[in-house]
Amino acid sequence: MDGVTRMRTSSRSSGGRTSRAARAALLAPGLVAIGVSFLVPLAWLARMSLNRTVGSAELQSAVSPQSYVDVLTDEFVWKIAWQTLQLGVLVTVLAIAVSYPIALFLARTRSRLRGLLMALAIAPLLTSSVVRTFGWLTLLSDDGVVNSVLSGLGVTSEPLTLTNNRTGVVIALVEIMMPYAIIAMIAGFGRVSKDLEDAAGSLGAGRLRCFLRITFPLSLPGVLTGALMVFVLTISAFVTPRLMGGGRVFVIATEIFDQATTTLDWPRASALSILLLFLFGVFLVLYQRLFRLVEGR
Amino acid sequence: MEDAYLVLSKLTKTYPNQPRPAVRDVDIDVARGEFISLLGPSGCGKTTTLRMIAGLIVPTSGGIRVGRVDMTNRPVHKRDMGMVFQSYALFPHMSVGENVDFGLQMRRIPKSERRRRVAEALDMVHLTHLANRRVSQLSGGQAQRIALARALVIEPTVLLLDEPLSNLDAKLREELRVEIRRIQQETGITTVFVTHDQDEALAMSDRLVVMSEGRVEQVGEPWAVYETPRNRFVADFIGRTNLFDGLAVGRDDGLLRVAVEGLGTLSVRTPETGRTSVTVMVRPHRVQLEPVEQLANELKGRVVQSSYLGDVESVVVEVDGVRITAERTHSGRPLALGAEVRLGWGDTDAYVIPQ
Repeated sequence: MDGVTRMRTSSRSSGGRTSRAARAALLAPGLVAIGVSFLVPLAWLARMSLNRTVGSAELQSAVSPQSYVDVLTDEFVWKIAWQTLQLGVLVTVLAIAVSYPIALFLARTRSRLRGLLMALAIAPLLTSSVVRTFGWLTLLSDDGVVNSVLSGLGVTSEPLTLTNNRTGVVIALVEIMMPYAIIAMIAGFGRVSKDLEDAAGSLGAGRLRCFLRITFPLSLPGVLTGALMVFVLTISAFVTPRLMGGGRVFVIATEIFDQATTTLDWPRASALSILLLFLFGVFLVLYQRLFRLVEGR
Repeated sequence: MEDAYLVLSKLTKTYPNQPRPAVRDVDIDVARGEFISLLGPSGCGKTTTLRMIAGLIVPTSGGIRVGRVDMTNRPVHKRDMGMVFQSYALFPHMSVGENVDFGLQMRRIPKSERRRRVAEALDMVHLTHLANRRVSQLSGGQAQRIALARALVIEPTVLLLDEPLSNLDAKLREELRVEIRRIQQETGITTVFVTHDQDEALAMSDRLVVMSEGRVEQVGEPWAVYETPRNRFVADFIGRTNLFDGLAVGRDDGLLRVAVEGLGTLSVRTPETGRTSVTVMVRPHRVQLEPVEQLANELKGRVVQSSYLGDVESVVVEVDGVRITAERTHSGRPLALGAEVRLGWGDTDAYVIPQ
């Protein structure tokens, strides 16, 4: 992530004072951690995707592109891939839209309560998304709070179907993604400044034009970073689609889980994982291109 | 003032939870085409005053008028004032030309006219060749000139400058000082300049407004504020100075005799003040070391401090427990510490502060 790395490196100390060996030693723990927890499993995953399954879930060591061919020629895979993308885009757009005003407010306020508000905004991260998904299940189920209130007020006669379908998945995911969106956006709002807005005002821009011409364009790096974050987390989300979808919403992540645990077709599950990873790569490149564009470099 | 153009009347700003108003009953009249500086230490309310004129801060009470138009409750974007910020505040996502063009776009001016006026504005600051540059590629001095061009291209009623030079190095600062003044005089625009730098204020302004703790201490032409400060704060703040508190003990022939502990009796040519407890001001450059002629006030002392600054030498002489700062020009070799010196000043070199 170009924008994020750049922000981090800007605060590094002058390089001349630490020797090469010391730097290597300082980097080592992190590199080892990444290597053991990410690169090794990834290599194992890539290797697994080239194996073959014969008969009923019997794993056969091989170097074969068979599972990729199977996956890529399977219409169901294309369908869930498309659904996953749709879900990703929808959740990203909604989560960014509802988080944007909050992030902008938090980035600009000079209130003494800023720290508290900031903590409140990201406090949901303290509970796991499993717990939060169950929370949404009780809120949105047929006899849940939302439907009770609506029918109690006489607004609806039949309960709205808000769980076990895509609507529920979207609602829960949007809420779960908001803290990430807010944090990422605040970090990317560095170029939004009161002085620039004041300058635009003194040059004759009213509030709306000031927002459209100054504040919003300058906040785009934050919006992009937040969007990438939410999108990537959404298309790889498993728990929420599984629980809120009630087994009726299929995304790549749930399919991988099914293949690995129910069908026990590990090569196919691995191939799907590698394809999802490839998808991440595509969006990362896209993000970098867009980021450069909005930063105007 | 009869021909006042920008009028601040009883302008006051009080922030909640702060005991003292940031700006208190400020009355300033600025004539059309005048360059006026608000000068004072940080926290004196000068920037708050400027931002109230701009419409960026809502005054608690009081009024702002430009010509015959009451501006007090008008929003910032309808005030038609050009403002230059300390941080320049150039829009980083636009080119230099687009920055200058922004105010014209907001006024929905036809494209052909906009292009002409942007070109003229860039020409005025001699930066036509930078029109297509990105803002991030500009040096500090260039950015400040562009900010000035952007503020002036809309032909504002008033130009507001908020410490525009304080982020620049000394040499560039002096250069831009001259340039801002040139452009101000060429365009004849009424200008309010905020600074904490008294050299800037003295060099550029038609008149100074010295502020302290939210209030106006003195308004006047630079020389008048410097030579005849209205009170002790102004005397101390503008330029370097020697202040002696003493008692008026006698008066003859336009000369006031003031007894100062340690210095004996000083003679000052001054109109009648009618007070017995007075403060006498003597600027360091008026104090002569080793005077060749007979002076009204002559003393003997010992050099306790000397700073050689090239064009002048600043010397502190202790006379019977009282420290007096003097400035020696064409100094050559600096005076040695501990050296016995004679010093003095004429009766017109000193001034009695009225308050």
